[in-house]
Amino acid sequence: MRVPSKTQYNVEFPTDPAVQERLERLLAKVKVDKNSVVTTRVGDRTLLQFLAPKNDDLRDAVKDLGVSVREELIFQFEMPNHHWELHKLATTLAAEGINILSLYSSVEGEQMRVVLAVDQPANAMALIEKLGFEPDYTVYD
Amino acid sequence: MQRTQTARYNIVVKNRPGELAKLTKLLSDAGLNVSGLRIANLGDKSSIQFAAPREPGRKHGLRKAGRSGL
Repeated sequence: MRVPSKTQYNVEFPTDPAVQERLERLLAKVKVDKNSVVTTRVGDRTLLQFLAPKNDDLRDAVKDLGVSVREELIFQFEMPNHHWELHKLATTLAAEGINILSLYSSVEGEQMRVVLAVDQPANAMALIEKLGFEPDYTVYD
Repeated sequence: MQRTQTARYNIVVKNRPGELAKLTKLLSDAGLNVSGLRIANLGDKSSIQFAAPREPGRKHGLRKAGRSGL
């Protein structure tokens, strides 16, 4: 198995600016080389997601703040940026009961780059290969 | 030159397999390509965010989905 190049960190906490400030100060202090930072708020909960090289010290430091942190295995692939390709991908994963834990995408010309975390990564990668794409654990910036 | 407007959507769905497929069915039926698609799970909910071309007067169910889910 190829070695994952990055891990996705999911930090979940109550929607509170003070908690978010403490968290961001910590991330700046430990100088994490992070990218694809996304903040999502649903109701009274906030989720901060970012990609970074796996770092147990980072995970432990975030846990020490008293917030929930989850690490997820991610992989990426490129596919044509057409609605029918996206629908084919979504229905293929759904038919196998694969749950998407997180997804980022960016469009570069005619191609869509997808960074994905799912609950059955090996199964999902095999299905995505069958669709004709090339999933890889090496995730570039 | 005709300018295309883009709208950003945020749809909250249940965190379970098949929810993205419901959305991509809507998009595919409407012939809409999206950009900036992001999915994030928070407990039993999942947030799906994306941008899509906005065509005034055209109904495709995305605004309704944004208000009340898929």
